[in-house]
Amino acid sequence: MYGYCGRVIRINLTDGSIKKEVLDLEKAKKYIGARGLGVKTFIDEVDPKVDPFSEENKFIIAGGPLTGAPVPTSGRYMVVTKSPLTGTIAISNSGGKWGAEFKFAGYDMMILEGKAKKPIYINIVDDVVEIMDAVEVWGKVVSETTDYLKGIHGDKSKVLCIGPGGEKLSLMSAVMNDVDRAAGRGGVGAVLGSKNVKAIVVRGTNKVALADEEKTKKVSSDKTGILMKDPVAGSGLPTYGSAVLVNIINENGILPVRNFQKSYSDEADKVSGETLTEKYLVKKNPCYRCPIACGRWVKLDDGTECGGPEYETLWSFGPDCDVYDLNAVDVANMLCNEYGLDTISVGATIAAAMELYQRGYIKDEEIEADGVSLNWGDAEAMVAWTKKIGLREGFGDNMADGSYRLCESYGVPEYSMTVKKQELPAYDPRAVQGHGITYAVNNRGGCHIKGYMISPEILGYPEKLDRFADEGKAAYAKVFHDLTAVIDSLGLCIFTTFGLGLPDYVDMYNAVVGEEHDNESLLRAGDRIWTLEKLFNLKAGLTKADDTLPKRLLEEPIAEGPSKGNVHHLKVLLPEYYSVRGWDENGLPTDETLRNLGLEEYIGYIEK
Amino acid sequence: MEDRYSRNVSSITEEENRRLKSFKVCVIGCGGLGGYIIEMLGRIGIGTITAVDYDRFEETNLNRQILSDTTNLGQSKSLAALERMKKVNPEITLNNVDLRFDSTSGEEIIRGSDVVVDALDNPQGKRLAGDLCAKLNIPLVHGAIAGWYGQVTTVYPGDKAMDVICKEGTSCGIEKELGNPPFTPAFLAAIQTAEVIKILLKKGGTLRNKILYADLLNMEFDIVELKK
Amino acid sequence: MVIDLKVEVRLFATFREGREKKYFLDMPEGSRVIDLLDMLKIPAEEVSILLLNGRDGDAMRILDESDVVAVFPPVGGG
Repeated sequence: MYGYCGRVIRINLTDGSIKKEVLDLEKAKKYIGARGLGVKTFIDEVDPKVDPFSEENKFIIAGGPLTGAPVPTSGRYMVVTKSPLTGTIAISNSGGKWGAEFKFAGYDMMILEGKAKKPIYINIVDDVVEIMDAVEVWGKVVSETTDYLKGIHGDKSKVLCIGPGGEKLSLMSAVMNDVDRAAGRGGVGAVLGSKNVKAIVVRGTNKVALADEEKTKKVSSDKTGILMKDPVAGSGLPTYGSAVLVNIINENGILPVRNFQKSYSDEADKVSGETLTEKYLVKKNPCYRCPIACGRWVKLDDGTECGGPEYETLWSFGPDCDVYDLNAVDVANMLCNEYGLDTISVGATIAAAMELYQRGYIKDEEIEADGVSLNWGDAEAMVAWTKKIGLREGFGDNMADGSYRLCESYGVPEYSMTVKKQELPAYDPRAVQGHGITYAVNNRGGCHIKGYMISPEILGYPEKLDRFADEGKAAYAKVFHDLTAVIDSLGLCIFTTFGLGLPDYVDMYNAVVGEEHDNESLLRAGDRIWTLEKLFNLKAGLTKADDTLPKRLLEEPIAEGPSKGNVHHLKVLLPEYYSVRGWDENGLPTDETLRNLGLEEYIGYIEK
Repeated sequence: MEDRYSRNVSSITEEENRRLKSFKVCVIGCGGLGGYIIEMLGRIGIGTITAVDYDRFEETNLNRQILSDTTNLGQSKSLAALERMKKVNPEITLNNVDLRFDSTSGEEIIRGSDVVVDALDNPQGKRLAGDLCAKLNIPLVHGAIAGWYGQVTTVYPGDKAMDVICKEGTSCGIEKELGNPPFTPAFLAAIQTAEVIKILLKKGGTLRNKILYADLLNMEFDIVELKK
Repeated sequence: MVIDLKVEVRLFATFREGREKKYFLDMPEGSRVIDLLDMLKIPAEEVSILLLNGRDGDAMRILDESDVVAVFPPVGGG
């Protein structure tokens, strides 16, 4: 077989058994790989009502058939588990080099079950898979953990690990790899922490087998060429990183400020990609086989060199907290990398806390002992709170489980800008209707990246849509959701959509794995995966009521700036989305839809 | 009729040849026996071959293992099967499984196969193949070699041949002393391959409930009947 | 009166070394299969397959007239 390795590692952490299983190739191909394969495996093996921190929850890591193959951006892998933050399926994606190395070791997927009695890490070198004592690294931050483990297992090893954030079970903790890459959202780091797993080290010496080597070479070269000629993928992103978006989003009046109380800032340029490049950038930091190289490597004011911030991070620690000190934002980003935390959720939670303080819910007495303010714009405070969240120190402990639980504890959950308890990212949906649909219906909670409608509605990819209009948005969003599921499942990076389209992904799959897909069948697989995730969530107990947006975004118009006066039209757009999906008015996929997608086995899975 | 398969005819008919593409055969072991079996099953046109072997080639394999050569020492045997079939018959699908065939992986490896071929080199594995094929209702073509000698039998679900051949506690066989010259695996592999085709096409007479015992040193071939 | 049984023994593979491939032997009534093996100096533990008239045989079984005993060493290579 080609693309796929055909092998799965299953580790029972409770009894220490390590098994290698053959990949169910038919299942893998039906759900493509990575995200799709992980989700299907998870729903087959775990009760959706499972407690995420219980031993019955499983933790799955999977690469796609293209992960590690010689095509552009083939470094990505997926973490699939039940999210302790949202209670939905967690599907967290990461890049860097770890995923490709895992394929080189000869594996498509790893399933972790149960719980280790004491902290362990897993070491993989090709065929050899071992459980090792993690007593020396438990408690270490991510860079120290990585250095230590590479010191033992060799510099060519790639390290995936959690930091103190995951060890202390923060619901905002991430799984980190290659020091500054994150499978960030949904609290997946805490699931590993709850299982006493500190790290997974991998070294692989094989290559991904290709169905047609000549064709793969040509296809890869062609697609790389397209990406290099594209203004975003070939120029904007490599030069400025995703930070290039700060000024663009702000100029459109959809940059959320002060926890979505405002949508425009005069000072946005101080934390923009342009400023980052000018003042802090040391070099680009690309993932495996990536010509886009959006990753940043920066130098802080104190001389420390570290991974630099993404757009979402610049926003969450910057304008969302009304902070415009770029070094402070860089430091907060570095702390999140070291503690293993999701930068979006952490920054947004600090912002929510600042609003609670602004409105008098959080009192001075509560934060007096910490000696740190919750004033808007206080850059030092923003950094200090980030650290306290990572270490669960003082009031930071109250914040470590995210803004929803924080706001709810004061009786005002509506000040948490979340969907399904996960913090919304850096775009105000009130003036980007299609993007707001993604926020509301995303299977893993408030998230932008599983259907990045900013592309057509703001950036004009693949065509420019009117962001204020409703018409056609639901259908368009569905296509984006399905295509993203495809890309996530192939093992490639979403940023390839700046330049590539569905036929390009079909080409790459067919060259590497074999002539199996056309446009329709590949996109349908994406639809299948999205729908399966929805079924999981319904079974887990989520309902139509959870496909919503914070009240502020539905009822309060944007106060000022280029997008003044807008609210989100979810009331109209949600039923339309359900309809184009082939779901009933409660968001339940109909029997006919399930049949069309090859999901007949799930007819009757959810009681009507 | 494609030129590629025209010389199969009329030992098998054109229609039988077409049908071969619909079958899935699992060959456990890509060494002495397995290498030849995969070569022949691929050439005759079996649609899907699952090639299972966790091992890598060593110099000692070169005397007989047809998939091995000086350029792939150290390489995965199942991967070599994939690469060989790519050149010999890219029309068929070869699923290489770089895993040990054991009680954890075994069922999933053979599930869905129309026939399983025992090309394993150890009695425990051979016993397990027998057990799992019985459990999953899949016919098994057992083969074993040692020195100038070898044996083949065909086992349908419910048959007792494997109970006779592979008793509990049987350790390694005489192959440890006698070694493995190249003609023995080639000869027995051919017999196993012919058995596979006959099982799939329901054609001719197989070695069901019989053991073919070959002695290439003395040129004696016995077929021992196993009574029920 | 001691009655002799006529039995046939077929030997395979390495058991043929230094022996014939087939023997027709007279065995005292009451002999067991294992006595046959002893007579041919074949250690019982070296026998992998023992067939008695084509069926899986037990070395302790008492022989009958015209029994055919086939013995094979373990052949396990691949």
